[in-house]
Amino acid sequence: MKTPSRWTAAAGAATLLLTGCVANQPAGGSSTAAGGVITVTAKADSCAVSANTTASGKVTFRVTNAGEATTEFYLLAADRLRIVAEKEDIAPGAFADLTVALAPGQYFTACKPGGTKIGEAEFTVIG
Amino acid sequence: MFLASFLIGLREGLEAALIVGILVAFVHKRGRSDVLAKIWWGVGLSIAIAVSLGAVFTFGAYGLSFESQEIIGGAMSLLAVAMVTWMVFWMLKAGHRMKAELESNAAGALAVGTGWAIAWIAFLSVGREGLETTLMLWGWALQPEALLGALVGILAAVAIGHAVFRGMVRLNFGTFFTYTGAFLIIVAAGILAYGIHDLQEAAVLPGPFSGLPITPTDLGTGEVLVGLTDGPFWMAAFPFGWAFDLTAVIDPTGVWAILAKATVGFTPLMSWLEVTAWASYLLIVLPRFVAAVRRNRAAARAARSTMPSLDQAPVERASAPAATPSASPEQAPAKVLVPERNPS
Repeated sequence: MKTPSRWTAAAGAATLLLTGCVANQPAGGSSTAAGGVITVTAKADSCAVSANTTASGKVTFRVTNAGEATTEFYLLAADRLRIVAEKEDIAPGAFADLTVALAPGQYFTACKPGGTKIGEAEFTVIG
Repeated sequence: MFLASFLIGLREGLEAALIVGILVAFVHKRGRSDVLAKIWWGVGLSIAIAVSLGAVFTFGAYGLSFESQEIIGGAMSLLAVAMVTWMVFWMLKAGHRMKAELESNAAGALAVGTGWAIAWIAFLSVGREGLETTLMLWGWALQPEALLGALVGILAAVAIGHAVFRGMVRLNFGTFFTYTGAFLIIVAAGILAYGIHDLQEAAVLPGPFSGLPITPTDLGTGEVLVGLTDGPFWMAAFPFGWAFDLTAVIDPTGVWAILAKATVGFTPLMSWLEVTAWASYLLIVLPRFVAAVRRNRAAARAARSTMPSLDQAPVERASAPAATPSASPEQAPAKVLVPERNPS
């Protein structure tokens, strides 16, 4: 029981680590956001994203929690259900970076201070 | 900021600290320092891998995608549940055999393979939240207050694990196996639920994050259905919607929510799949556990009635030294001496 499950797990984890990679450096220049980094300011009742359009490729969201509660940042697919990427556990006063490779299409951004989803807004990625 | 990141660190570390605390208490009671060393190897290796991978994915050319992170966490959770469950029943059996082994003076009942299995449980318990935690910690490398808060939170979790260890080693054998076993089963049910949550977030398992048509939504608002009677038909939210959403009532980042999550696996927002898996696990495993505990107690009673047990032996020796046919006077002191050397 031990050896096969151990190796299966190790192989599975290794595969994930190799295939589940996203380039950390955003593709600068082509993005409509300055410097390729989109800033998000999360408060108790708002989730302000500095740009609502960007070019496809690697995008970094720098999420700053300006509220009182620990927050989360979500990038949702067009159906507002599937999670494209998320950053959990952003303490009040702290920031966290979320880098994601985005294909052209319609997305939604949202924050979750104290577990409640707020400030859902459209986010467009153009080819 | 400090308090919030402290609570995050506490939450990430508590479950692992509790499990490792129980593992250490167990091998401590058996006086097996070689297995203890293996546990610390498992913990150390897990931390080292998580810290280095976290650094590579934070500062290197490539980060870890959201799906992979959730799949790694979810898969390790499911594996941890399987191994912890196996260990609970194995501990019961080992605790039962304990007395016979002491009497026959057969030391070293923990086989080599079992020792490594315990080390793997320690590895998995620490590792399943480890990568996510170290990614968060490295991300806060330039934010000392948040980083310090999280680290102190993890230390607090370790302190709680240590307190559990101290409390556990004082219990006698029977009580120890019953309490730790029951506690580990409840913790494992919670880990199962959270592992499923991770896999649902990554849309590996169907659920509230799968999108249409799998995710049941309100036709008017597009929100995911919650509870029993919502939506176009009765139980439309089952099994791929939310079972309940108490985030408006309970702050999931608060201290009580964090303790509830680390012990019984309760979170204010749970999917039907999570709740179903949690309940099924408990319904299947708990009756078997109770039956095993009862079997052990009955066997212990039977053993006590046929021959002098460990705690009765001194009294019997004093009152009727030569009257016991099953034990010769030469064997009797040896039986008594063994538990006295290990007063646990």
